[in-house]
Amino acid sequence: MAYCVRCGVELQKGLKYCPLCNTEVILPDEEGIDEGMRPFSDRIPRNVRPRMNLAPSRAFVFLATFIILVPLLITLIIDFTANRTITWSFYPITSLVLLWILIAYPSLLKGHTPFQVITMDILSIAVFLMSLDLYSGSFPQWSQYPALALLLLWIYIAAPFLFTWKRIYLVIIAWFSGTAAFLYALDKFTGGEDWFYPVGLPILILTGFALTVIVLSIKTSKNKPLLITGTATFALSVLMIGIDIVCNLYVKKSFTVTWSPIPAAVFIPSAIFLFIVEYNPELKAYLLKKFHL
Amino acid sequence: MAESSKNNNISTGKQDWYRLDNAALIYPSIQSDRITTMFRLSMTLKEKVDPKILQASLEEVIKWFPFYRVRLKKGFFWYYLEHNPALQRIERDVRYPLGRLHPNLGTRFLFRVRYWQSRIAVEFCHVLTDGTGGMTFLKALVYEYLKRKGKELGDPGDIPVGALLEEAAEDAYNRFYKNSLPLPDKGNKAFHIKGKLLRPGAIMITTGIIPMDAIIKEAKSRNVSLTAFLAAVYIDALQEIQDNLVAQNHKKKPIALQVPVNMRGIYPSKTLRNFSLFVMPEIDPRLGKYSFEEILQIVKETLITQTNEKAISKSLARNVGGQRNWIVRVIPLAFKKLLMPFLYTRMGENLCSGTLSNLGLIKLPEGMAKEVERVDFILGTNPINKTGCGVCGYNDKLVINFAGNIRDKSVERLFFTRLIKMGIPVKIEVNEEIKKEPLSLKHRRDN
Repeated sequence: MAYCVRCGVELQKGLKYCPLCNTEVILPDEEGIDEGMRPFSDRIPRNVRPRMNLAPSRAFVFLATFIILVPLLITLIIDFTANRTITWSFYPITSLVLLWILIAYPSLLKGHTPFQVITMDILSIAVFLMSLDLYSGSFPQWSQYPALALLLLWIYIAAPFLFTWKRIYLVIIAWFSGTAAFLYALDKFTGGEDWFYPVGLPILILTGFALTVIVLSIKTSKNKPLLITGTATFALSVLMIGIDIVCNLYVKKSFTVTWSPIPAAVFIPSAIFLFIVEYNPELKAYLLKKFHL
Repeated sequence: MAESSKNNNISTGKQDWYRLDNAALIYPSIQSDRITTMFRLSMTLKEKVDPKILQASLEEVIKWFPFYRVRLKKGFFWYYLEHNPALQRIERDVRYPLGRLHPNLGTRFLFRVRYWQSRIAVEFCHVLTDGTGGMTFLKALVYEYLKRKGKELGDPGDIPVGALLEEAAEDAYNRFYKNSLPLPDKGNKAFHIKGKLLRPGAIMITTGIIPMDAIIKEAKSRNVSLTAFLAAVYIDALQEIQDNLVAQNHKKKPIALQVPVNMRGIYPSKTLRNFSLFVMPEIDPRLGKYSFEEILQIVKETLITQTNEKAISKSLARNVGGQRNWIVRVIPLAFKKLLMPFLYTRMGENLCSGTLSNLGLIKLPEGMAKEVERVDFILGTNPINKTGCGVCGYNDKLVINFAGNIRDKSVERLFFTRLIKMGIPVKIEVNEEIKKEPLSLKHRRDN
């Protein structure tokens, strides 16, 4: 039996310090510190954050179906009694159907992956926009632009799902070719091949190149944030100089740089500084000492 | 009529759902990593616990308590409890009990059963029940466990050994609600102990084990009940902490203690869901330093004057009246959730400096008492009051469990040293030893 000399309380076996006043225990019971004597186990449970379920419940979809059905029927009846056919009610009805798809499809999430839900949502929005365009006169008037943009968005989202982040190069290639196709199509739709080859494609190639360099540096030099930041700033300044030259070639028809030296004068010295710090452990230690937070 | 037809499937255990009782309404909205709204009851047996038998007993006992076999669900206006078809698994005990249960997720049980060496513990979320209900469940579980172990237990007494009556699941607050009573006092903002909070989930438990006869003798000699005596010691300890922190009297804040009252003793109800309210003995140190005798007198009188049907019915009327108000009822749950934390701090935790919950002397039938060594009761912590104190007596021992979420143990130290000075021996146990040198020594070395 050990007692705290300051508080006077009797202490549980095996304690080195009094839990109340932190005074060192004189002559603690060394024997009998087996597990069974301790009042609590030493197990500390992992703090698992449960994932939130964002999909609406089936009961909610059931309710929403009927709530959507009411305005749908009302518009249909009003339009039909007045005009004996469907005229303006086409717009509210398609909008309501789209709303229903957007609400209802995620609730089937148990059977469908998030990727399938996103695909379905993007597809239904594209079909909705094109149907509006079709109904209001000559086709295609304007709907090809949002449809193409949605397609590009789908490619951006789909590539990581299909190839996974482990094969990030395939993802970058998919993003690159998707964007290239999108830009080419935009160029075509807005009156012939005008800016895609001289401006669009070179900038895209430069961007893809910079992105690849950054990904490469992240993959090869893990736990070296200075090196990664340095490479990234360097790649960005090269990208900006490239964009500047390409634009000048297209607008002024001359191989010059105008604005890009200014950010480059900021980025390139910083990148060089970061590289030096990374490869000079003494300097790194000195800076850590001086600037520790 | 509608109420009874909704809930009458209790015996079949299918498709039934329960409204939250009045006290439980607030807990789902406020519970977080810091406010876990949990409490824990445990029995230490004389032999090591067999987890397989414990699991089997739990599966049997939970059938008798269908209102605990539930999960929390969101309605449009209120949360509700829904039958949970899954079966609860028992767990090994941990160093930091009373961890969050994530009832908001809608899949989990609102209680857990843990075992460690020779101890069986249940941890309840306050949404389900209060200490009395939890203790009834623990008794039933341990009785069933010991029976399955082949012990001669004899007559179970008041311990349930079969399906419970429907009245055990009633919302007694609503039954004894009286309309249009005057509102109780709003109360003042009370003193709270200071300290840096531990990481969420971590909890410091300090257990003081005291011989029952010594402390009863001391309380008797002062002509007060045990609860009043302990509450006075607690308030006195808090007073000393505030005196050390704040020098000028006029800057001090009132010290109030939340002492839950089991309303089953006041109203004739046998519910096993929440049915408790609290009284608040309070001193105002702006008027000067109180001696222990003065505090004892105030606590004693508050407990007598506030713990009667008339005084309690005022708070009951306020709480249930709020729940029955049509304006409150038609606010969608999403908005109610935003208001609840505000109400909780403003009307609950801000008003008191600590909680002292005394479950009283736990009586077990003779055959079972031979097998049970000790009973513990631990309250969960909250970030405003930081410490809470759960008291329960069994056989010849009184076990006082302080649970705190700060490292500093001044309250515990001042509380227990006061008892020591009165000549009452105290044995201390902790769930985690702080392996740190005394502050004074460390200071010297730094210089």
